[in-house]
Amino acid sequence: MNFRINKASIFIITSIILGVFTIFLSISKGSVKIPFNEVINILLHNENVQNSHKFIIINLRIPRTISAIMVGMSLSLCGAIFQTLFKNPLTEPYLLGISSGAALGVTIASVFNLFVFVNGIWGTFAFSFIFALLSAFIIFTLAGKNKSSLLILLLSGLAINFFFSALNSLLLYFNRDKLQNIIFWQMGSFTLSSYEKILYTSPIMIILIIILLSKSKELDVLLLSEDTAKSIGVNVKKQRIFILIITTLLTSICVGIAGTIGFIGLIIPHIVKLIFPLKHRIILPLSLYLGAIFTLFCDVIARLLITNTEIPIGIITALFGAPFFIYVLKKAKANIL
Amino acid sequence: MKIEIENLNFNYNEKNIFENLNLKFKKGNLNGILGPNGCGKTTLLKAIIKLLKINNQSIYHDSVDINKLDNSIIAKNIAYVEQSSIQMPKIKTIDYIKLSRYSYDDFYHINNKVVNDTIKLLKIDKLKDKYISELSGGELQKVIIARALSQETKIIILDEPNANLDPLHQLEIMNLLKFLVKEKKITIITTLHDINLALSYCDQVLLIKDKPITYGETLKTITKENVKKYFNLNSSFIENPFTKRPYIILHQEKN
Repeated sequence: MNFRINKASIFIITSIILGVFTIFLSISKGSVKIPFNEVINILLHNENVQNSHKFIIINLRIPRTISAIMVGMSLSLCGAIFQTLFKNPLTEPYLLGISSGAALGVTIASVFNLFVFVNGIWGTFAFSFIFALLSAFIIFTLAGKNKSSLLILLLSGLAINFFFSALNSLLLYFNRDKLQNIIFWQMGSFTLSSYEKILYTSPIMIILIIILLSKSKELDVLLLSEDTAKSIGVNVKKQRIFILIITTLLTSICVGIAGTIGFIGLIIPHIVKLIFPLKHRIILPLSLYLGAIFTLFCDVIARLLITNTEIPIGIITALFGAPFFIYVLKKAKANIL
Repeated sequence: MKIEIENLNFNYNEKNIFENLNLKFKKGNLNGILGPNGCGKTTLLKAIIKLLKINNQSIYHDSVDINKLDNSIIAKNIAYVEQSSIQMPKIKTIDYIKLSRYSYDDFYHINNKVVNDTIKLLKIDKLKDKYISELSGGELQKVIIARALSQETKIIILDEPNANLDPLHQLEIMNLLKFLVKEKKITIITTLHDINLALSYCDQVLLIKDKPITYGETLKTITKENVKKYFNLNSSFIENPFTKRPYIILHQEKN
């Protein structure tokens, strides 16, 4: 018992330090080198700083950092929730094909210039949500018939991924002029972050996150078998569908902001669950926090790994995520299949 | 609370499982449900707590049609113990038992009185901080019953609580159920496979297989004729030297 408490407190202290460190790293590092004390001066609104440096930090790196925090929190939370909803340790928005559904929606909106009709930014998000919802419901129906099968769920996600990616490629193939922009965005990137986007999306994301956090109690009970959960008093079907819709909405906003970034929702909740017992009131907030740090960290790597070139963050998270996936799969085989 | 079933019809896979079933479960008793595999025992249990939807009005809790009752209201009146072959999440025993309080206001209380009392009553203090996946079959069944008990209902329904348990734990569970009926005045409805356990422990038994059903006092219901009719087995009764109740010996006739 004592050991567990110590482990938990060490974990929390480490992650707080890590958080402060990563935020600072994200603001101060990038292709343009800005000395440490100048960063501090800019942040403290001191005089005698180079104007171009001030612009970079205030208008590029800070919004980028905020975006990465918001998206990281959301994706990690969505992963944790999908794992409970499908009673499956190997699920997250990307692996379920929900992200690729959302991505297809965004591509359709931008290729056909559809967002013009639906009031700029919202058009993109509306399309991304509709297609994400479509894949979510395909998955939900497939998984509903075969609840405990890890394999069915994974393969369904894979199939949806293939299908939507193919449609996506098809659209891009015929619209090669837009290829460069869309492809880079789709692999996941925070380059296009702006205060305007943040202003539009963050309040909604925060509301959705709060709604999902308030479902901790239901999620706890949903871990049990459907019959038992019902007999305890949960309207299982209603709750699952409601939570699924909110989670999908949050995922699609993330995709709209930063493209498809995979594996965050797999890695982070797993690390949290390794250390803490499976109570959503504990797991979900910790997943939020660590998801933000991890995403920021990956974004910094994406900026710094190759000088003068930015790598899509989705590649970085996949490089961490895919081996992790195999590790979880090996572990899961023993007690899930 | 009393459970009444009037003219229950139930079809499954085009097979007519129940036709005009009428039944009133006796309150404050240990009721056993016996019958061969696939006769609809589990179906009946699930219908009683609305896990299966029955279209016509036929199941009444305190004279109220079950279709008009919300899940959370049923949860405060009847608890359900599922057959235990199901997967368990990676949570601690105490947290698992606490989930029973979902329909009550004290779900988030750290020291939940009802839960603590149940743990004391069933003497499972030692299991409190273990993960559910670490429990043995007998321990797990007790913990599941503790969860049902913390739901503070007047009725508990169990689906083969003895499945996959060794003889010691089978008797332990039956004694526990008997204890709950006697001391906590809880009505128990449980499906069973072992006719001898029913003979030793149940106050009433329900025999089902096709129709009609037979429901009544255990010793009057489990008779040579009924065993032949419902289980297609020959039987002979002797006295159980420990309980002084009848003990059944079964025999399958060779063709």
